[in-house]
Amino acid sequence: MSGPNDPPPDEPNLPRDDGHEPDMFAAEFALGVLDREERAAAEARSRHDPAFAQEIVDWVIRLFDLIDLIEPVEPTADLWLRIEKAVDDPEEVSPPAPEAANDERPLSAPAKGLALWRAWALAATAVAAAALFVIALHPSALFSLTGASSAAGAASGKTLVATLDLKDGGASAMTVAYDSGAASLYASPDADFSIPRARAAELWLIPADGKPRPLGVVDPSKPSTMTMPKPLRALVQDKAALALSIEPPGGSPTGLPTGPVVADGKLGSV
Amino acid sequence: MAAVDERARLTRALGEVARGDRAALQTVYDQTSAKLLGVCLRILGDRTEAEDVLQETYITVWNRADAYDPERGLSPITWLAAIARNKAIDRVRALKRPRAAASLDEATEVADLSAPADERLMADETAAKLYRCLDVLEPRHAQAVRTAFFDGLTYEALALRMSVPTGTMKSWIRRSLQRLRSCLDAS
Repeated sequence: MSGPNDPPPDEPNLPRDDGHEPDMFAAEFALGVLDREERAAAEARSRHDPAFAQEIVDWVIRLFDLIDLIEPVEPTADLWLRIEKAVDDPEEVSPPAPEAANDERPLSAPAKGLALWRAWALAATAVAAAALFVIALHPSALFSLTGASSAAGAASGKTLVATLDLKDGGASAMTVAYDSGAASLYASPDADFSIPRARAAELWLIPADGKPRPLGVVDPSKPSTMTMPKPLRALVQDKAALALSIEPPGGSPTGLPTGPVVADGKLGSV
Repeated sequence: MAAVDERARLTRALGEVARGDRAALQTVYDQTSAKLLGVCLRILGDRTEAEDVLQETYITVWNRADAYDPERGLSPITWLAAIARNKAIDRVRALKRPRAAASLDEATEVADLSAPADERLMADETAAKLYRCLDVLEPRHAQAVRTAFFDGLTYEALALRMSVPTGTMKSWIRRSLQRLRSCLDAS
């Protein structure tokens, strides 16, 4: 083997767990050793720090050949059918698996919808490292979606804006703009907006039916950009409400707001 | 060569998915779901959870295939695996219960600690380089990196698994990653 020069096996026993070697954060994220809060921080950072996002991609490229060593396992036969159904008919799909945290009652139709919206919430938030970071690298990708965003009912190329006012006072928490042509949402926090330590701010869409749909965790200190998941695009209409709730890191685990709603506002045309 | 064809076919199928072609999504699924389930199952240790994550993964792929850019150096299977693995890790962190699969992993772990020679032969060149670079690490450090990757364990869980203090594990991993980087990035 033509390995590089063998490193001294005992590269000085520097007892240096100095806590932070910040340049390894992307590597640690890609390897998967971070805990939940750290992962949420890395994801948030990858959205507004393209260099950091690129580092994650570089580490993924370095490490992921290891998956060659993982034995494939055939999924059960009906998994594809479930996926197909979810894709064809997002509102009607049955939840993929009973949730550990589920309560006694059987899933009613709206609850099924909510289970799915929870999946979308994960798509919108947890997808970050894998898909969003690639988008973060490549902001133009956000604006090349026009061809793909033909969701019925979404007026093409319309821009809607909302100011989310803090519930406990006159100041505004966040300004949100949505470009329906690009299906792109931009959320810019205002100076007066802050959240408790170790909590996250999650943005919700509340369309005419009154059911909150999670749009993902937003950074309270920096603007965030996201692409609206396809099934929600038709619901982003004039007068639809947006709200911010305080959630555990990573966002609401239930698909519905679990913490206090601290700010809200309605979308309107520019 | 088969791998090259496969990669090209998958890249093409993802492009079609981005344009809303459902048949292409099925092509992607047929070609990749068993591998991705293997990845998720290793991390979650529970088939129901793993398939649930897999379902989310392909729904994400359906919605976001436009985000895959073959020019960026990520192969399509790596991109898909990154999505699935990331979701699986988020899920296992959210479940916050000790993994049921710990004992199962203990049993299969040994097999992963050193890549069997025939697997190395099958792997393509970049993969072979990764294994060579892992071989340069001290064996326990390489084992820690592999276990972290396969099982998606936190530093704390990894330290517990390998019976060392968390601080020691952090420096093992960080140092190993730095060495891996210089080894891999050296042409």
